[in-house]
Amino acid sequence: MEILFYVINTVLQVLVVIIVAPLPGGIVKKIKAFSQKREGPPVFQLYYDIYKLLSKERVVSQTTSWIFRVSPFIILASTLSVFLFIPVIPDIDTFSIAGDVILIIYLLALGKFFLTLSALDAGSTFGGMGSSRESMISSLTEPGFLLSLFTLSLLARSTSLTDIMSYSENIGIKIVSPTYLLIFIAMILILISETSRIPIDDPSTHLELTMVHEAMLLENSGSSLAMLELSAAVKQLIILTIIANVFIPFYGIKVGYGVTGFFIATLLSLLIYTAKVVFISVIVSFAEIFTVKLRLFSTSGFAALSFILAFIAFLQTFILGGV
Amino acid sequence: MNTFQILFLIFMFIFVLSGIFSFLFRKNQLFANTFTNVINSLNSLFGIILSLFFLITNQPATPIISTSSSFSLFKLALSIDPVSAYFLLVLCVLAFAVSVYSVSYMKHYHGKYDLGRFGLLISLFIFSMIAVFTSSGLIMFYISWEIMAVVSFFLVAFEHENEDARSSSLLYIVMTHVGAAFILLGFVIIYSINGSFDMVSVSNAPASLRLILLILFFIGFGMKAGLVPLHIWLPYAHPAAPANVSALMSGVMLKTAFYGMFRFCIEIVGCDFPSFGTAVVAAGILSVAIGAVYMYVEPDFKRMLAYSSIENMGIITIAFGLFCIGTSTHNPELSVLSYIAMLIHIFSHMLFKGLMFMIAGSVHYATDTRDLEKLGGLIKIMPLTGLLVVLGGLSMSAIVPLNGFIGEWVIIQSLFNAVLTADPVSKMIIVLAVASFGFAGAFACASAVRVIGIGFLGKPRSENALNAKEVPFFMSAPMTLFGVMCLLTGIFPMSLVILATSTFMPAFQGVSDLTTLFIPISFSENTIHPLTAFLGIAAIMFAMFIISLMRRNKFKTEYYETWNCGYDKSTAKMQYSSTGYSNPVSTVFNIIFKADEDIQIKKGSNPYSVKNITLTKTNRKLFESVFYNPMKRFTLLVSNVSKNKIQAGSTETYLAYIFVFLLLLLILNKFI
Repeated sequence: MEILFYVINTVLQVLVVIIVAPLPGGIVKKIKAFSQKREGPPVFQLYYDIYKLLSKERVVSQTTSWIFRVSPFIILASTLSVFLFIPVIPDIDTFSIAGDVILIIYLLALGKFFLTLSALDAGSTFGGMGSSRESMISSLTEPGFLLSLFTLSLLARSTSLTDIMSYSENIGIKIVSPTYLLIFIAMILILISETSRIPIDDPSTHLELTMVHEAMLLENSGSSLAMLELSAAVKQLIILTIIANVFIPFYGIKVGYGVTGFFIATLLSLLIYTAKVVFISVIVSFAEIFTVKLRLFSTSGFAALSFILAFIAFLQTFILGGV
Repeated sequence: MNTFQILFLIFMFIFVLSGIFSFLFRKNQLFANTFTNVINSLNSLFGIILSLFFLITNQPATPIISTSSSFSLFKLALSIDPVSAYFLLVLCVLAFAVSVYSVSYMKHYHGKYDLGRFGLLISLFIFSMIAVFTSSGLIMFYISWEIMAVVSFFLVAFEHENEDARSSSLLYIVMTHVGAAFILLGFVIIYSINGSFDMVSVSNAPASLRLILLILFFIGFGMKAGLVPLHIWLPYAHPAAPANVSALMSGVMLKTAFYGMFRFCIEIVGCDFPSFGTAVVAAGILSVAIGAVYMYVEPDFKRMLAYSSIENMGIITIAFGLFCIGTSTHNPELSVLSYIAMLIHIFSHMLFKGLMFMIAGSVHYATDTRDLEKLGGLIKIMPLTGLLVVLGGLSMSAIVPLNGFIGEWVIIQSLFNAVLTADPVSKMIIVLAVASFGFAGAFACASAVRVIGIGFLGKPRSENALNAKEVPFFMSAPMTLFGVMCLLTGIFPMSLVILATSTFMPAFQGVSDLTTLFIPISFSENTIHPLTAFLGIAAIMFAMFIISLMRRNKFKTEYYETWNCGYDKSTAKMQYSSTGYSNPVSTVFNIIFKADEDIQIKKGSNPYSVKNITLTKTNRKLFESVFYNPMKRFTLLVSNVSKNKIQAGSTETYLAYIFVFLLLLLILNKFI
């Protein structure tokens, strides 16, 4: 029963993701704090936050409907289910044959739909504001995101993420090329937009001036808030995984044979994966340190920049000799 | 005449009969309405069975009537072939839902307008569309096209007391006739090549003539499909018509243009020009972009759906353009892929746009208004409609696992295939098409959230919304059917693929049983399986639900007011309005909108207390102000000048004109 293997692999992968997801955010906060000569919160703060929130009761507004109560479930479920299709360790087969790059983008849209919708449910100004700003920012970032992944799949001649990752593994050192470099920068910009980091949004405040993502979560409390925080961390991990596995195509070393060898190899691959993810979040933290939050209407320029970089990367695939 | 032909003729003419009877019974309006809609719905069901039978049993192209009369120009000729059967299926599914819906919906107009007349018009509308899809002679096609245009004109103008309906219908009929003129010109050229009005290919005509024919047909049919810049009638006609008519127009009538483009551009003229395909893709990109941007800022529910139709027609045009590129560069994989994409998206769009227009009609029925700024909190009063609008909104935004995504996925796959094999200029345009998909998908998602969030969620913003009630069964049943079909065709996309491929190859080839519905859809080794995504989401949600059930006794949920920073007198007016929600995008794209803001401040008893602030924002319509209004002013200027200067009024001047003209003719005669 091959399906059983896939299911077990998928369940384990989802559990690994839930465990690893809050880590990059904590590391970014710690580095930011050090750069400001502060101690900062502990690296594992988001884990403690989620645990604390799960033990608190929920306060639900009377104006809301079933959409508000169901949304945290749908958002977390859809964000986690994207990991059915992304190979964290390419040798461990999950259902990546059942989903390609385009399905991943539109599956992320399911979470975004319900997040922006539930924000409007409470009938408060905060929710409307966060929802409206998030709609604008994500609508402008989407073409860049789709175009970057499309160019990557053009190079690999396939839209499946497994093929894209194995193509960059096959190229080896030639991955340091204009196309991949431009798409890497575009994906970092998209990572900043999609995960609401400075300069698009400030994840550490609840002020109206700087709220986009936090405004949408404002009405939630208790276990709902824990689910939404976790889903934001998982969404960040999705894009980090894509960047890490496509642009740093080193997945681990094979250690011996047999069951123990397999376990040790898998553990090593997981460590390498975590190291790659941490490395890229360090890059993102440098972006956070050296920039300030943009005016809301300047974020369109930021999104346009990522689109132009992706477009030039696409042009590079067939002009001046290709990759 | 075999049984199929007889059954089909009966099917067609029952629509005519039901219309005539509706008009005859118009003294008793409610009976006429119910009678004609019940007959139409049963007949549409019959039509679904006929067309499915035709597609699945792989009937060859069958003539239904083929007469030759002493009138050598005009032949009454109908025939049905697999492509017609597919479009007939699309029509009949929507006609079934709309007819059941109209049984209750038209009661909204009882007493104000003549329901018997409406029954006649809508039955003739459906009949004319069947005739368009099955015509097999040029004159027959043109006559059915004209009947469709004229009947829909009367339908759009149904609420004739409304100034809005009158002017919109006038704009619509003028523009649709201009389009029909282009088509007629194309037909005349085909006659001059072939010598007869049969639908026979003109592939031995010179290339320049064929290119002119392609352009004429593209403009003529593009005007009907609502392609930018010929789209300006759509945002006026669709909101002005009753919701069931808008559903039919948006769901099927716009697609008759693509049927025409397929028949005439591909089958009769034949597309050998790759640059034509690229130009079609570019026109599609323009429609997608303009439709998406205007959809985002529109506060009227039905007008927003009209712009969404423009955007989706742009998507289908992109698929059609890829089909032209594929046939002209002899790339069979691309042709098949984009053809299937086009057909799948036509079916999906009919489903979700029909659903959304029926919901818009329900909202109008329940609250007497279409303006989103006056709605709110409807989800608690109309829970079923609220659930369906979420399904429709998800489908409109092409979100996994609903059916809007399937069409977009196949089109992006065909774009992927096209980019690998195209020349550099086409490559850039095709990649811009990919970018426009991302753009439009995100904008559609945001517009759907805006409509659902502001229309259905939060607190009611006016009396209309407070006094709403849930819609009756005959309205909610077809909407529920469409909602369920949207979800099912999204989770089992093989059903759509089998339907689309059955138009050109035997259906169920290599397929043994119903388990085919469960296999992934794959084109050129890229596969997806939406069922996995759906099951994954369902499994994770189920796990979380079980966990929350286990913790239920420990942690209660408390209900309290919304948090508004400690301010306790928060009103419905403090929520976001539709204009406010779309304000960021409106500002970013101000170069298109050049919005005109007007702020009125009403002060209270002393000048420091403000009672009321009203902001009115008027966006300009880009193509109207840049292209059509200047053209209108120029035409009026020329005609005024010629009226004042040439028609001076004095008889002597007119006699002088006659004299000079005769002199000119005599001189010219010498030289010719």
